[in-house]
Amino acid sequence: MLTESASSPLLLPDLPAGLLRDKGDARDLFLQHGLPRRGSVAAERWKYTPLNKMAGMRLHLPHEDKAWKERVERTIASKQDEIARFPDAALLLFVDGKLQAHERTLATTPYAGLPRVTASEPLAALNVGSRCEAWRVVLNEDTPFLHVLFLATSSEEERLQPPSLPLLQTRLRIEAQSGSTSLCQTFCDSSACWNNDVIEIEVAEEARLEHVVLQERGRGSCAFSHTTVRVAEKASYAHISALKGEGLTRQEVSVALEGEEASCKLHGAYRIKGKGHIDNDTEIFHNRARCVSDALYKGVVEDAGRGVFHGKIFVAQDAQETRGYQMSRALLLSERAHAYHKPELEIYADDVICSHGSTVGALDEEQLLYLRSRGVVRARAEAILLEAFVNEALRCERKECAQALQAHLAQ
Amino acid sequence: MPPLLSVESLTARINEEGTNQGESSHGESSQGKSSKEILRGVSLEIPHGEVHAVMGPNGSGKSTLASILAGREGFEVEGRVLFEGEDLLALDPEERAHKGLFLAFQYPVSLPGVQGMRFLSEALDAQARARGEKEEDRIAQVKRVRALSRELGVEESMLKRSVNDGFSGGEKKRNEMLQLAALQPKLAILDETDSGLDIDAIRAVAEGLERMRDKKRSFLVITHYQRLLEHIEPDRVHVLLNGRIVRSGDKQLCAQLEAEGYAPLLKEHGGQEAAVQP
Ligand SMILES: Nc1ncnc2c1ncn2[C@@H]1O[C@H](COP(=O)(O)OP(=O)(O)OP(=O)(O)O)[C@@H](O)[C@H]1O
Ligand SMILES: [Mg+2]
Repeated sequence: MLTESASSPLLLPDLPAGLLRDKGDARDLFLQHGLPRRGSVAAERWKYTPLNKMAGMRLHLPHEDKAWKERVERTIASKQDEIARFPDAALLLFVDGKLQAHERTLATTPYAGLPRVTASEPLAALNVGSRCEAWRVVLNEDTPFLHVLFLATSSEEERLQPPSLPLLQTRLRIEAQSGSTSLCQTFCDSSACWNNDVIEIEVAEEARLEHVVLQERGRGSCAFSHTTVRVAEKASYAHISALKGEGLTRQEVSVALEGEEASCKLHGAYRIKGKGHIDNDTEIFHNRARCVSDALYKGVVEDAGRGVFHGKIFVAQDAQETRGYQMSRALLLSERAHAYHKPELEIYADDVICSHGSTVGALDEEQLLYLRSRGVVRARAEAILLEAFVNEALRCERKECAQALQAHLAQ
Repeated sequence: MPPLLSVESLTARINEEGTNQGESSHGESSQGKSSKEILRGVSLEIPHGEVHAVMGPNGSGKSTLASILAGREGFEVEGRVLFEGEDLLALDPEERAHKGLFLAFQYPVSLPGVQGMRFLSEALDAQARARGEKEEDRIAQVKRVRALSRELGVEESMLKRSVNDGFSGGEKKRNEMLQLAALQPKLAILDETDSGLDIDAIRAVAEGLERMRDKKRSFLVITHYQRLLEHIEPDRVHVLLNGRIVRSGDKQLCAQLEAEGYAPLLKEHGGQEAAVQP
């Protein structure tokens, strides 16, 4: 059992009153450990994404008064294109973390279950330890496609001194019961906010779920998400994300392959500008025999951006005939850009093929010359090569999602 | 009218990080760098409508010459190159393409994730835009490129694949030829496009070049073999040796080289190598 070292003090943001539950394991965990800090249990998993600056940061919850309701209406009215992006999909529309009624809204039920979190997941602990909306959704042949759209209103409080960010939290439980299903999450807010979401996913025997995430963060905005997935026998789960911007994003995806011949694919691409920071933290637990996992992350880092990938593969003792592949590649477009990769393999079975690799480099001058020698101007040649680079990690089966993913990261 | 291309006393050297400074023969290079002279004063004139061949042993500088003309960086270049009377060396690679220069690379790179037809469309549209012409209609463009690929024996499926990605050596060369035919440059430089091609493909390339040949368009064909030149009959043949053109002649020269090899020329000019000053 790890114990907290006393080397550095507890780090906590300035949380709004009434946010945390009165009791509960997750709440206690968060209050006990706080944000990751030197010497804490979470330090290793958060090594390249330090949150020290978040200590003392003021967070507030939107006041659900009349003015807020008007802002919600205005936000919805101004985001009609976004809302209509996937007309064939059922819709869950959240504004400031609150579910809004819409004609395509899917039947949902409030969900009271609380996912288990550990000390190395402090933001997930904050979410689970908080009072926030939590909904359960079932996907199957009748409802194969769900769009979950997160919008945020902007308010006067953003300009407060000292500054305060709205804390927007939701919890979702998605059950993919049967057939081939798709879930597309899009975050679309130009205003600064702090998102902190938890998603629990169950993929039932022989079911398939393709989970797509599109997100852009502006400067000063943060997005934390924690997705835990259980994949049953012969079921498959794919998580494909396109992240970009100048803000701070940490996306945790943890998949447990719980039935034989289950499979998962964790693919993602990102483009970082300014002082942006994007961290993909993945865990894949091979708990049964003959499961396959495939992780591929590709990033383009500009300016003083930082890209982080942590990929853990765990293979249990009786998970024989496991196949696990993991690759992370980053292109650095400036001298101040950085990328960190941290693979972690923990293997207890013997009939296992696992591979991992990572590359960091610049655009290939030979490829650029080839394009330019055909008349393509340098800037366009770069754009073509970058697009080709990220698109490899953005393939998905549902056409409209594939297009949305590629368009999201195209220049 | 000035010749299409005129190369005057072109020299090119490359800086290599000098790890063995003690052995460096170039005492004056102070930063621990040694420089290697690859082209040592190449002069060449290609009038409109002519086909010139360049032959020469491995490492003599043929590809270096071709790639400097296309705009590759990394060399210290001196001398002058005029393209239709304009200073070519002052232009970016893309600007040279816009003016009508094309290089079929000896070793074309692959572009994973960039589909062949898309690549060609980007190139054609970029050139049209740069010349102030109207971009070709997409459907007409695809149709035209497909017809060309049939003529040149390029599998149409290659247009759907990523450029040169997983292509065989010969397929890459055919693909260069297809790009050349689609882009219709004023000056086409072919750097060993015939190497690695099967006999039928060489004929297809020769026929393709023959179709494009007209009073204005010129070709600079770098090759090790007589076969392609038998098909396309060069106006001039130049021999590049140690970074210098040591002999120029008509197509007879090519037959002579085929028979005798480079040994007699090396004997005649070999002495210079030792005498060369940096
Ligand atoms: N970037 C470079 N760095 C160091 N040496 C180089 C570089 N580029 C070319 N050279 C050298 O310059 C010389 C000429 O090379 P080049 O490729 O032009 O020869 P070539 O005549 O095309 O030969 P081949 O018939 O084999 O294609 C060679 O000795 C080569 O090693
Ligand atoms: Mg060569």
